[in-house]
Amino acid sequence: MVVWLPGNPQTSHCSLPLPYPTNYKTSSTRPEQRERKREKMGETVGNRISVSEEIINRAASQAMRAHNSGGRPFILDKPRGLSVAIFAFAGSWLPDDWFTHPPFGETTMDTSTFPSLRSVGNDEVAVVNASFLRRFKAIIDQLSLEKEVQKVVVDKKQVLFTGHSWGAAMAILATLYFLEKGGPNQNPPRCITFGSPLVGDRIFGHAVRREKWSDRFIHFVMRFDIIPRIMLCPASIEHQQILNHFNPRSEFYGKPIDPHLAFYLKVMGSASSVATHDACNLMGCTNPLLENLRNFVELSPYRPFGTFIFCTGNGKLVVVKNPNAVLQMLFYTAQLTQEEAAEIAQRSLYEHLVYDNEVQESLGTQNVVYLDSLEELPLTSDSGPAIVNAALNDLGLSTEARLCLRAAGGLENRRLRNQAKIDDNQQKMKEELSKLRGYQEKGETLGLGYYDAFKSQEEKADFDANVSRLVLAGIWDEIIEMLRRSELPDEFENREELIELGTLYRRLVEPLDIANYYRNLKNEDTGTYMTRGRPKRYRYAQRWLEHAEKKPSGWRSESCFWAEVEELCSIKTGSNNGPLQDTKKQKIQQLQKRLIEWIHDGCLGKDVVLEGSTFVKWWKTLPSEYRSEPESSMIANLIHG
Amino acid sequence: MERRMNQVPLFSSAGELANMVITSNLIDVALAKIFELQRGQAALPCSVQPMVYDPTPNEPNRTIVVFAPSPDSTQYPLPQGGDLVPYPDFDFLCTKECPSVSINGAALELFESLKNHLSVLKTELIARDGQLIITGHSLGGSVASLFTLYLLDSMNKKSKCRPICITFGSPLIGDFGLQHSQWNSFFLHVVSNKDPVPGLFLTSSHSQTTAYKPFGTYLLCSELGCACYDDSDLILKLLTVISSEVAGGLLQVVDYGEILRNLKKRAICKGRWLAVERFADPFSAGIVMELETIGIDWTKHNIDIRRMEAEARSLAMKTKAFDAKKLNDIKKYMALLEWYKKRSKDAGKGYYDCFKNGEFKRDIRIGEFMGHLNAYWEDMVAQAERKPQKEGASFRTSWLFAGTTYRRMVEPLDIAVFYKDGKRDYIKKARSQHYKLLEQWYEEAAKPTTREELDSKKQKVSVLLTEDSCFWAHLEEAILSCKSLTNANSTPELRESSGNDLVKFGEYVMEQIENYAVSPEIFLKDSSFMKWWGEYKAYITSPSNPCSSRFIEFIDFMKTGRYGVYGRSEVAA
Repeated sequence: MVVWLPGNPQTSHCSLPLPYPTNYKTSSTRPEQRERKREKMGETVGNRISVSEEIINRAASQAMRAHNSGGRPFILDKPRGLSVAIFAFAGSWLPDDWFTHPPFGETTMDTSTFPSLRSVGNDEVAVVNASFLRRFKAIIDQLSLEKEVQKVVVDKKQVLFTGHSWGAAMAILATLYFLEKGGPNQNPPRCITFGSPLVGDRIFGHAVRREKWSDRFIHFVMRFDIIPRIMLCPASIEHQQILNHFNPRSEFYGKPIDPHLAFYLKVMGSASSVATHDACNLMGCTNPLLENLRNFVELSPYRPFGTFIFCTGNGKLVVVKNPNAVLQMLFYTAQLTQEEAAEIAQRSLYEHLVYDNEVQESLGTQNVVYLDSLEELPLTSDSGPAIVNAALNDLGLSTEARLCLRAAGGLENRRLRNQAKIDDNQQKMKEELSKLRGYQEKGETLGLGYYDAFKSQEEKADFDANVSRLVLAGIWDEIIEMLRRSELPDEFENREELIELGTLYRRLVEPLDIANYYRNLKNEDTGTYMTRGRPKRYRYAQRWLEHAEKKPSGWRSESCFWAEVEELCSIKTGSNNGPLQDTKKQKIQQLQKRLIEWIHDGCLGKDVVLEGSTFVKWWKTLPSEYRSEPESSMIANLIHG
Repeated sequence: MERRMNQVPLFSSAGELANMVITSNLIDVALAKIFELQRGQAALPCSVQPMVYDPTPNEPNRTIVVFAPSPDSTQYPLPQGGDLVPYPDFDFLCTKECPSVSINGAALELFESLKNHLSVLKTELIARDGQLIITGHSLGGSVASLFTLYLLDSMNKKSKCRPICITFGSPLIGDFGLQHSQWNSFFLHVVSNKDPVPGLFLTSSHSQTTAYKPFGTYLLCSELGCACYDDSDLILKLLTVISSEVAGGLLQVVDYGEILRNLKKRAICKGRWLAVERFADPFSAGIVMELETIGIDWTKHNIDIRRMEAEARSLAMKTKAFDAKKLNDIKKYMALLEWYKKRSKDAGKGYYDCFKNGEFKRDIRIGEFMGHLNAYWEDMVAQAERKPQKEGASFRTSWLFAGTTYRRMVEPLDIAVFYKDGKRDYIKKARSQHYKLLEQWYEEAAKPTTREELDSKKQKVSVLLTEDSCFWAHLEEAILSCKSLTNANSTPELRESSGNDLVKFGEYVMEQIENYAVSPEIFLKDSSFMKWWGEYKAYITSPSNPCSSRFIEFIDFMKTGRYGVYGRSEVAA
């Protein structure tokens, strides 16, 4: 039996203003849903995305109105009787506002304004459309938006950003801007777009999902609308033609594009490249040609994120959250048939302008399908649940397309399984960690810190600790490898439990890796631990904590204390090479300062200051000019206290 | 949900990959240049010479090399031209399964005639950076493939040149397979289901027909669409089907330009449908649709979908298996052995002897660790061997260091097991191939030791492993020789040869000592080595042959007890 469950369990712990249905059954048996038709279809789409139909309709009409508002960057609407304030952004058809440079006009995200829009462990910055970012910053610089939003927040109203077409891109960036700024008690803003172009890349979407903001974004897309696909295509003559067609100030405004099919083929050809490329990855393509092709084929970096609601054009709505599935649908739903090619090309332009009516009509009939259990989609046009199949057929999704959607669902489930597997391993990790904790404590009572004991490898306990170290390294390296291959849910790096465990692990075990590194004298032939030897598993765990605490990269380096000591030990003091001595002096003084902080915070163990430790031995040899007060006497106290 | 447990659903991406290739414009670029060259044929000094199109302001990063022989008979290889000729110049393609390389005669002749020119061109192209498209039609494509291989052999990791070879309707060129090789990724062969040329040598009555092997990716296409394959057995089968279906024996001209235009349109048109849900699983559904798309009736030609699935599954497992965990497990076993070694040393015996005598209870587990380690390294060595020579070499340098440590640690234990059973002559009779290769590769990569390095080795010798992993095998042979020497029943000949062997052994040990290549653990009180010495020293009063100075040195080293300070850093320093 096939059960249609919402397939995104990893987003279900997201805090939403309205109760979020946990599965299909409970929601469909709600008493308020008396209407037979609705009962059959499930809850209303408004319930599902926790925005009322009234507000969605209002947003649609405001978005369309604002698009032609001329001059003002946005219009503000506070509808009576609704506890919401709608900010609708104006549009633009100027080519410069869409693409700054060929082929794709992208730039890396401004991380001072949008600090979260990056991957944490992998440490890659998201990519965004440069024109959109530039124009959005100009809006922010005018300050009026910020002031108005502030007022609405004080009034305890829900902030809703919306926009149509280019204005939608502004609404997305505005939402992110205020999500980044938002305090913990503030009701986070929402975003509803209509016919939005794609704004950011894969990492952009990943970061939004990681921060659990994905549910704040609802995108309505008409089946054939060209604009949501336009960013998949490199800047070209055809682009220009499309924008001119929509631009009231252009001499080509509203006129058929000539030749009538070329622009559509161009955009769809590029969309096909991107979609098939991603599908190959989703399907686990093992052909090595795929990798080499990337050297020759430049693909658009832009990818969808958030909840997409496709309008079939005959009153039905299809809701999809899986970003990979959305990308496939952007391509496959707009495929041509040879016979209707010209008509479809026309529709691709026309449909961009009818959102308000279409949305209102579709919300009225509530003919909605949620594509959540993608892995169970029927492959032929007449199998599986009739409602689902009817919607898929209305969107023109062939077996080929459905296989791609299944693959997208497959990846999502695989990621969840991988995460579950890691969770199963947590017990094992904790056991090994407690063994090492015992090893550390024993060292402290015996008066020889575990760092130095491990470095000498004399006792059985040292060998056992090494085995524990390697067992843990195996588990963590596997996690990191999965992250690098995007084989874990996007939210993975934002899980408190993991960050905590990672920090515990890093503080306890990294000293052993450092000891091992310097014991084997790897610094002599490969360089210092920090530059050449530090395993990724510690770098990642440190970045997780820094990100969670909103601290800059490098802030939480306490677990590398011993590496710094070893490096400072290896520079000879007292010789007369001036500049080297100066930087060394600075480093030593800094290290002393931070050591005291770390010991007070409890993130460094007392074993560091045991009499016989490498650190204390070295510290005692330091000439007085390397020490500064009051740190020096504080350290002395620690050693003797 | 009746999916078999633990089996992830599998997909076939052959159609997706093909559509990506088609919509990416890469093929258009290559094909356009081929047509351009064919139109301008008359202007060329030599009809088969490749034409190089340098980067243009529009494409500043792209060089295109086109091989397009003039449209006379040379373009269409005749069926009788299917002979394979051994070609030692391409021996760099040799792998374990394919120890020598043969090339199609016609393609080779053409390639050889251009070789002087191509060798200059190769040097020039490697120095460039950016995209390099090498292409050709029919026999021109064969030469393009040969040239690309020739180029790949000369490229190193630092090369910034990124080549791809695209052929159109080219016949198979040789008997070497490159499956599972990185080089596979550089070849894309476009073949229409109306084109008889690619499968030419597979259907005619050649004795060598089975020797041909495809390599790289084949983009097979029909009027309905296209699909990409890189499984060489399947490609062979599909090419055979295609050439058997193109009946009549007359070679017709296939217009790849027209085919491409059609495919591009197809790629964005409504996709394929599965008529009936005959196959519930996505893999079979995908495969069946793809085969139908390229015009192959899979039921008629007896194509085994399950075999394809199994193949794909095993390949998917290979690329997905997370090596990180495995490598750490391997390190863990090594750490456990290290502890065993340390403990044995404390017992005054050395881990070789402890293990051989089954000293501790934990020795049983040591056997288990050995098993894991051996399985891992045998597999690594086998993988390196399956790759073409050059590629295999760079693959293994990345782990040769770890492999050497493993060999020095574990092989003594294998030797212990062997001699414990009372057998003789480990090195000749029982030494595993993977140890031999690990040693051979290490020696190829190793640099001669400098004076300074020897000094540092002197300091560290007490923690190092004995370098020659067969040291204990030599010792066991020496023990047996010693027995023959002392046995009253031995013939004089046996005694003499045993005596000579022992002298050789002594010289060998002394050489190891001088190089700080043996661990001082061999001198532990209860080690086999010291036992052997105890027995042997009584018999070396008067060597019959004039002795080498090194042997005398050895005797002196042992008799005076200098070994007692060997490896003690404080004395050495």
